[in-house]
Amino acid sequence: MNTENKAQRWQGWGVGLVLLALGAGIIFGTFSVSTLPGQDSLGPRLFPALIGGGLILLGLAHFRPNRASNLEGHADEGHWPSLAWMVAGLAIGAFTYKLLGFIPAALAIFVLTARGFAGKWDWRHVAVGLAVALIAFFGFTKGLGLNLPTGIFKFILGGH
Amino acid sequence: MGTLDALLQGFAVAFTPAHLMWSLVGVTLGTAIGVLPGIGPALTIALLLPVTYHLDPTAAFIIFGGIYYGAMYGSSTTSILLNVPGETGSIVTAIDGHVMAKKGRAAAALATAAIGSFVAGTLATIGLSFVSPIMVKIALLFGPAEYFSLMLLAFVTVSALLGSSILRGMTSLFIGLAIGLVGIDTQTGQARFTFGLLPLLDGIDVVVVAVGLFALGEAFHVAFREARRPEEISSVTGSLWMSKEDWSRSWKPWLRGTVLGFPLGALPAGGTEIPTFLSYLIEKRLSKRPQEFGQGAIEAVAGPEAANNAAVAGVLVPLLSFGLPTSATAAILLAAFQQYGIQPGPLLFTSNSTLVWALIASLYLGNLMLLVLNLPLVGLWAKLLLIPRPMLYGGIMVLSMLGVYSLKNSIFDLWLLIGIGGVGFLMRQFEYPVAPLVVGLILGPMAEEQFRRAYAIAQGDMSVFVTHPISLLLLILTAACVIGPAVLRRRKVAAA
Repeated sequence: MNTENKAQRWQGWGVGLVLLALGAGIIFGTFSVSTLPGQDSLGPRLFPALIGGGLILLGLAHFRPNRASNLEGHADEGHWPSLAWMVAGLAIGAFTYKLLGFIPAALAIFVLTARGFAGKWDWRHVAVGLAVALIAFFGFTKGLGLNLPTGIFKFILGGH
Repeated sequence: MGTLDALLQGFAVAFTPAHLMWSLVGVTLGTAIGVLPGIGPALTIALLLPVTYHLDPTAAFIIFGGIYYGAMYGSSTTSILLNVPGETGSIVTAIDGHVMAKKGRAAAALATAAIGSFVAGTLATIGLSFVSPIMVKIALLFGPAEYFSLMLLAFVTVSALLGSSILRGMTSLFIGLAIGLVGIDTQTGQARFTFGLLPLLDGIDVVVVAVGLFALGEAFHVAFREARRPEEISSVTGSLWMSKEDWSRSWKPWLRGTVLGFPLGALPAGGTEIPTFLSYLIEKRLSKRPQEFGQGAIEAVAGPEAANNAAVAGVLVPLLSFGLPTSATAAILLAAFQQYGIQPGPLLFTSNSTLVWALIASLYLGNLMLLVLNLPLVGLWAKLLLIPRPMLYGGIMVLSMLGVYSLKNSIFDLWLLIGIGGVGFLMRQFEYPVAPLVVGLILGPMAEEQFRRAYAIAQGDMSVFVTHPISLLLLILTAACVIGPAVLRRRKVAAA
């Protein structure tokens, strides 16, 4: 077996394990769903049990060798730094959304995503990002009546 | 009231200036997002749901209908010029369309795609107008048992036919079903799988899941795999008008594509992939010049483009008459109906007849607008492809976070969104289809409700699912869909 096949096999097993854990977790969680006397005899537990059972079966199916080798992996390696910049941007965005407000959060999301894609810093990303953040903020709050957090600009923009 | 009267009334509503404007907004937005790689109609409608909450439902659905149709027009532009299909339904178009573009015949390819889409879209919308009322009559015969069996059939066909393997389709479906369990059980009011977290009591919103999978998951994938790869864009070259030969080679594939696309779209299997692939194969077989296929045959653009637009109209038949979504976009449209407290299904045509017929009428008008938007203005749309990837995805991420936050003004949803984006990314890496997940998420709780209702009405008699003839028939079909492919495969192996 060459290394690529081996990797695919591990991939299949990995997915299988996750599905088994998820299925087992759901079945276990089913017992903590309370049922009241007088409810229809099926109650709220039947479907979770069925779905959990289904996930376990699907998980087991991933361990069948011919199935696992069907999983085609990508031959070439991906580019982790691009992904890391994006996730960092979104995480900082989510973290600062209420704390600093929509405009700085959106700017962070835009600039870090663009950084991930471009592979370098670029002042144009900051300029465009700021424009996108401002247009989105005013367009959606003033134009469509949405409620976006103003954060550190509360004293100018009002709101929350 | 006859179908024709109802349709005319629909036109009266759709023809008001405000609704015409919304239709134009919808088709313009639809074309734009269709052209832009990385965003599709399911994602756009999902993002607009919180934004259109203040609009009256008729206007909102006219926009959504325009987006849905427009995205199909726009995505062919990207397929032809960039060789990147904007939607799954345009994968086939890219094969010969991009070769035509490279040979300097981009304009002819774009024209046959746009006119074919118009012909197919219009014929299929006529089909939708007249088939839906008939389907409604059938749907009225359905009780909870029949509905449950129908949903079971949809689960199997959606997960078995979309994507490359049944195992992966089913895995995606069951993850969707599992996510659908979270929240309060509608029948008894019991909380399930909320882990004591207050924001989970309402369940995980389909918008969060759709945006997570389609926007974040997709963007993560592109960043990881393709961010450093150079893009190759063809410009719009050649005469915008198709030559006499182009016309004579296009009109039959348009009609065949329509005949293929509409019924296949209307089946519970749904989706646009199968009709477009079939159309390609049929055109290749019927062509006098099969050797040109893959080298820029115009038939290979005309047929599949007609088929995907017809299928898109076909998908609306089970959605409107049964309340059954058979594609990711249809699932989001169903969520949109629910947002307005409207349940699609047979009663929709009586309880909300103005809305339904205005929506259908707006699809006719939208098609006409799309032809105008896409034929002379196609060069303008192609300019959208010049937006650099870093800024395009930066913008998509900002709007995704904005849309999801606006659902409930909840930061929790933003973290959930990032998590689901991660799941979508992994699914993309390991080639699991995401559409079954979205369908499972929205249809799972409905299937459970119908099952328990049927069980309660039958006073605990489980045989209700096999003693009702329609339900039995649907269950047999479901079983055939599961067992059929395996039996065929075994026979093939035995024969070999």
